[in-house]
Amino acid sequence: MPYDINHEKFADGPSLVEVYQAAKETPMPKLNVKIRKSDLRILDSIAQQSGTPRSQILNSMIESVIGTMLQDLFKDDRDCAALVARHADALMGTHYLDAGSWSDVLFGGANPRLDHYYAIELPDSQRIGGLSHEYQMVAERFARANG
Amino acid sequence: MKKKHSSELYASLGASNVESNSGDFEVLSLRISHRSNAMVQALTAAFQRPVLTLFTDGLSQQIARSLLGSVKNEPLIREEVANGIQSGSALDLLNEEGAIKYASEALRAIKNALQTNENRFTARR
Repeated sequence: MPYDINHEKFADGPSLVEVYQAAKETPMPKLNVKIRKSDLRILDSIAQQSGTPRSQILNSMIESVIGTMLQDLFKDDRDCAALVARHADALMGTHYLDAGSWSDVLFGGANPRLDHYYAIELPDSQRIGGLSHEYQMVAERFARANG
Repeated sequence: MKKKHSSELYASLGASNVESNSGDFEVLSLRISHRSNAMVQALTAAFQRPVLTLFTDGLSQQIARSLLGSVKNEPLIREEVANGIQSGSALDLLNEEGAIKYASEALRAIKNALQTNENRFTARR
């Protein structure tokens, strides 16, 4: 039975093949981290006893730490956290309203809160001058970083 | 003392950051996802913190939280406690939380005395 594709229902992003092709072709970025020797000994012990490479455990921990950092920032200043998430999405080449974006994660997954924030709450805050000094500072830093 | 901000990064905005003594640290090189890397870049640009030390405290906190996840982690803790408690480490955080305690009050008193002296020394510098 023939089917038609309703193109209006699809976003204009890269195909899944393109996404994974790009991921394969681009080497994973390197990150240097400074870690306390005591913490490292604990990770080594976990790695040794579990048979899981230390790098894998550390990667998993870093992912959790990043998530915690963003959520803590959200608790202090939602606008600032949203700005950082949106900047990370831009660096990644992902639209901030897309599922799986950092912004999407910040606002608790695919739900209307993200849309509502960008459509109504943020413009309202901008209009009445309700954005914090810290927000302005971070926004200026991003503007400088973008050249 | 209770922290004013949930986010240490946010609290650091506008404040000067003091680089900690690097004697008890090691630098590791990791491969991370492009997604995580984008957030690392965003955080370093926003808070102007060196990437190298961005996760040092967070990792200690994460390890401490993970250790608290199960009483079966006791052998890991006991093994590391034998090396002493490094300032700011996961074990130090567990100690502050009261999750691990000095068996001897005399040892606790010595530790407190050393800590006080260290604080005085730091304040004078």
